[in-house]
Formats: sequence, C-alpha cells, structure tokens
Amino acid sequence: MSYGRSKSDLKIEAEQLAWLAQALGLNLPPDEVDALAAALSNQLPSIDVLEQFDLTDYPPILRVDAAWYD
Amino acid sequence: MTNSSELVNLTISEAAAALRVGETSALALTEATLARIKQTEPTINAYAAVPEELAREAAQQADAELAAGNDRGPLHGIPIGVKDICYTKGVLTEAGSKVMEGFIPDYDSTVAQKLADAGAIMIGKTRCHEFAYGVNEPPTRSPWELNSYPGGSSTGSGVALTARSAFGAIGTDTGGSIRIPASINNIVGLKPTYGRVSAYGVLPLSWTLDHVGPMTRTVLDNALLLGAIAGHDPRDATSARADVPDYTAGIKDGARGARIGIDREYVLYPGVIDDVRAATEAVIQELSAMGAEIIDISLPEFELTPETLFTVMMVEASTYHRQQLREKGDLYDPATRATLQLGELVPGTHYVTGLRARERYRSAMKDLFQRENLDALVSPTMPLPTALLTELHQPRRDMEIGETPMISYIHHTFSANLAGQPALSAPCGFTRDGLPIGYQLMGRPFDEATLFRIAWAYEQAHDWHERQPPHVYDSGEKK
Repeated sequence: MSYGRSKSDLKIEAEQLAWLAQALGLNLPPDEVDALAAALSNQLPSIDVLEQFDLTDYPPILRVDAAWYD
Repeated sequence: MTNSSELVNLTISEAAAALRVGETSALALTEATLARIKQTEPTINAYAAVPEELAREAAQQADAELAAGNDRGPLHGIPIGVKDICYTKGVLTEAGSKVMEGFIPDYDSTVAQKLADAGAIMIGKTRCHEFAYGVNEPPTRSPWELNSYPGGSSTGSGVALTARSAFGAIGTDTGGSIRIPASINNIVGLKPTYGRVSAYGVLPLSWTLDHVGPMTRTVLDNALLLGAIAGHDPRDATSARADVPDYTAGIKDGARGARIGIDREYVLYPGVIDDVRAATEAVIQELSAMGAEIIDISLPEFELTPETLFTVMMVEASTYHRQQLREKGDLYDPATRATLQLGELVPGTHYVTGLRARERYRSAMKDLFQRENLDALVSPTMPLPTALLTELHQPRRDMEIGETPMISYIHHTFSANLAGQPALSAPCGFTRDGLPIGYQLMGRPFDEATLFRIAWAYEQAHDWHERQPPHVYDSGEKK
C-alpha cells in the first residue's frame, strides 16, 4: 500500500513483526507474516519524505475545515 | 418517446425536459433502465443490488406527483445509482464485503435521503472495492476493455453510467475514487469540497479525507446532481455550513477570463504517457483559445502528497476497522485485511507528522491560489488510461522508477483530498487504442460552480462524452 519512493535499508524481520502483532492483538496467519513485514519495511521510511520539508511552523490539522478565510 | 434504448441514452437534463412535456414518464425511464441493467449486467456486473419493485413504486409516485403539479426539481423521476457503502433504508448494503453480508439498514444515508427528497429513483446499489479500500470482488468489468481495470473504488457507478444503466450515480472519493472511474469510463465525476455533501450514513474509509459526490455523463448533469445532494447536515460533524448556490446559474458563461494554473513539472511528470500528455496540452490550448488565462506555476509541496495521504488514510481506516478486524477478520478479503493490519503498525508519531505535512500542503495551496488569483489548476486525471488487470500491480515497463499503474493512477488525484478543495474529472479524448482520457480541474473551496463553468465550455466543443464503449451492445453480448 505504501507509495514506496523513499530509499531505505530498513528491514523488519518476521520475528519482530510477529511480536508487534501479538502486542497489538492482531491475529496474523503464519503465512502472511513475511509479506506484512516487507510491507511495513516499505511503509515506515515514508516519514523521511515528509520530514524533508520543514514542518516547524505547521501544527497538525486536527479538524478539517476546507474554507480559506483570508 | 417509447424506445427503451433511446430513453437510456438521454442525459439527466434531457430526460427531465422530456418528462415535463409528457414525452416520457418516470416509470418508462425506470423500466428502460431496469431493462438495460438486465441486458448489460452479465457483461459488466456494475450492481450489487437492484430493488426493482421499490424503484417501480417510487417511479409511480414520482409520476403521480408531477401529474398533480408537485415538481421536486430536475432529478424528479430520474433513475440514479448509489454506491454500496451508502446506507439505503430497506435495501441491501454490503460495501463489497463478506463482513457486511446480508446487512439491510433501517435508515437512509443523508445522500440517499436527499435523492429521495429530490424525487430521484434509487435504481440500485453500485459495486465498489471492499469498504472502498480493498478488492473489487466479484469483479466489475469496464465495457471499454473487459480485461482491464474499471476504476475504483466507485467502480459500479462509473461503469453503470458509461453502459447507460443509470442516468447518474453517487460515488465517494478518499484519494481519487470518483475521478479515477470517471476518467476510465469516459464520464464526469466531481469530488466536491470537503463537507459540501454530508457523509452521514456512509461507511467511512478515512474520516478526514472522505468525500461524497456526483457522477454523471455531462457537466450540466453533474451540476444538477450536486445541487440536489449538497448542504449542511447537523448529523455529520464534518458537514460545512456553506450556502448551496444554483450550480447551473452561470454554467454557460464560458471560460473567458478564468485564470488556470499548471505545474508542468509535477503534473506532466515522466509517468504521463504521450497520448495523455497530448490530450492535456490540447485542453490547455483550447481553454486558452476560449479566453482563459493559462499560468505556469510551481508548487513543490505536491511532492508531499502521496506519503501524507497514505499515512493518514491507512491509520484512519485501520482505526475504523480495528474492532471488526478482530471479531470478523476471516471475513475480510486477505488483501484488505493485510492493508488494515499494516495501518495498525504505523506509529502515532508518523500519523501526526502526516497531519503536519497536510497543513503545510494546504497552506501552500491556499497561498498559491491567492497569490496568483487562480480559479483552477489543470492536469490529467490520470497519467495513463486503464491497464490490464494482470499488470495493475506490476512495475510499469515504460518508466525507469518502476511505478505500478495503480500507484500512477493516484498521482494527480491525491492532493485535492488533502486540501479538501473541489476537483472535477471530465472526458478529453481517447488513446490511439480507443481508451478514454480524462482531465482534471481543481478549484477553490466551495467554488464548484467555477469548475462547472470551465468544464461546460470545454465540453461544448467536443463529442467525447457521447461516445459509447465497444463491449456493451444492445444484445448485451460481449464483443
């Protein structure tokens, strides 16, 4: 699902993923663990793309209001 | 006018006019649409449910009201399809998922209620990707190319319109799910401003990105349909308190004087195939010839949009499904389930960073429109036409970075969901292989009327929107 543009060597191991899933109460079929570990390895570096931009003066949008007031 | 195929080829505005001079009736329009559905469904599978008797009863009531002088407006007596994630009282609503199998709501979504209030005939529930997120199963087929992606997640809405088995349809759009099937199926689709159309009673995918909107065959029809479904709804906390204008009032004023921006580096990036590039350039030249001013702009923040939207959408979708995933996880399609599981594993800090990036993007977009006094931005709707289903998730051979067609499809559509601004897709030509191409206009918040005005002017110069797909014949047989 991730856009997958960020370059990273991050590799989540299947055992790590299984531990995380268990902690969250996710029931992962054993044959799906590797694929999800790979997907998470691909997804997490997306943060790097976002942080390439200076976000210092930008608080999170907590309520969406599409209007432009000024 | 009694010929069934003649009736289903009418636009909403034409059918409305025919109704008022007694050339047809709501019941005749409904029977013609039901017949068309029977004829085309074996090929395209656009509908999840078709409540025939309810539709006939509503049509008879619509005719009786018109005869008594009670005219509810331009949608009165017009058969409209509704995406299957919208609740419809007494009618099966399964959201394309076994999780929802057999579910019949006991109330209407606001959009379904507004259609009924406008006198429209709810002709059926159109198929969608599972919860507007996962797979489209059983698969809907595009009558433009049966083995290719029909667009989604408002899949059945797009396909039914191009196959003439609905006069208009309701879709939802979280990252492009109205505009992508609109482009692939040679129709008009509008993602309105965030909050313009109530999402009450619509199963959420991502609360802060979801939009409900109209899908039609022409720009005028789209304006009519939006007028019927827009408006503040106290039952939806995200609904905007903004006046709803008559969207048809200035629609024929032309494109002259409109200031239309284009970020050529981003929207005509290397993933855009030559036929789409040429069609987009032709739109720009034509709008310019009509008196619009084309302004080259640059918005570096476009680069933020895919990762921002994915991060926000995945976490919100997984939050909505969290409990259900644990209780009925085995009922989800495995691909949908895996995506929902992935969303749970994205850290909260990433989500909040996504919300900050979203604010930076929204702020930059607002500044751009105000600095350049823009009315709209123009782009292709998608960088390429539909692709074979077998190649949808394979790296494109024509691109060095190996983007998949599915990822390419959302390159131009994502950003409007993040800013909440309106975005419209309309037909602008065909590839050399005969596949539809769409262009997109993004506008100022709550200024859908300007997009309709520009798109209507362009539409008058072409017959793209009148062309019909090759794979649905009157006999209903596959080519």
